Amino acid sequence: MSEDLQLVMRIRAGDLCAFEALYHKYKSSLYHTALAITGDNGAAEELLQDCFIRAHAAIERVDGSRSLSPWLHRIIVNLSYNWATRSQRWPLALDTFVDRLIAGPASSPEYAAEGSELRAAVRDAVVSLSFKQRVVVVLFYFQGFQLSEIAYILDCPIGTVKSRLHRASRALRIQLLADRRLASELVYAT
Amino acid sequence: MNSFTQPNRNGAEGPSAWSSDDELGQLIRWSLRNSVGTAEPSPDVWCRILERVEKRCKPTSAPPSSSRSSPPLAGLVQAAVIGCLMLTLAAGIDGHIIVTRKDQPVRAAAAVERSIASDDLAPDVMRPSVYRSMERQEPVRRGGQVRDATVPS
Repeated sequence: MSEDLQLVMRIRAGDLCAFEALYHKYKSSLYHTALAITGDNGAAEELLQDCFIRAHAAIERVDGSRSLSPWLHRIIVNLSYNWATRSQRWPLALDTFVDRLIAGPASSPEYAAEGSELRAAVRDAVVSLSFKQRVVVVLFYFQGFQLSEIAYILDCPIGTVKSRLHRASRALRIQLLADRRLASELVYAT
Repeated sequence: MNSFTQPNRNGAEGPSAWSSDDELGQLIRWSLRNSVGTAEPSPDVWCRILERVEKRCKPTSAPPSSSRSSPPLAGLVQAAVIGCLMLTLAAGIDGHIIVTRKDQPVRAAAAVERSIASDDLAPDVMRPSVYRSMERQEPVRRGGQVRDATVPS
């Protein structure tokens, strides 16, 4: 019996300790996804809360035999879409996200000297993506989900995920290859 | 030369094109991990979740059943309102008939009350029913002055 299934069964029986274990198991990846989508710490925390409240309410219906990660990500991506639609903060979120992308916490002097131009180039490439493409990029490259899992999370056909990912990858490649800043950085970074 | 500078080496449409471990994937993952990936939610988040879950769980016995029954009830009310509207529209000109039919029971009820009340009247008081029957009596024609005969003296 998988760990997730055991947790689901205990949560169904009213065990809040099991629910806490589930939270600590998935909180980081869900929070990173929400943060990458919204670009807002407070919003990401609120979405994380709502995600687990909804998960607890729907725990009776979930298939515990599979990993809960795609299911939880589906909830938080939907909540993120709702949040963005409600507050109409896509442009702000995009800018904020890009700022976070380059000016992240790993900002020691040597780190900044080595990777700043590369990160700036990636920022410029990512900012050129549409939001839907960026979500797919985050789920695929950052979270490591399979295409079928992303299709489930986004509730769309696999072909749509492939096309979004293909366009996003092509746009990123074109932009990064055309960026002169990467001439030395890429060789140095690898 | 870095392999990243030679994109689509494996073919963009092939199965290997969808590997997240390619050079581009590594670059994106590295960038994201160094920016978003190190952030963590505050410890308060779990406390707030627990509080909300406990609030939600406490009144589970009553509210869920009412919340489940409310949508069908709302649907019934909606259907009833729509049905009434449709009936009214369908009746069209006959709307007056419906109104008078509604009025009839009210009049009947009032008549019953009046007749019951009239039983309690004193014997020297003329009963309304008798008075009404006298009003309805055909006047005796005496030279054509019909209207004068109906006026009580």
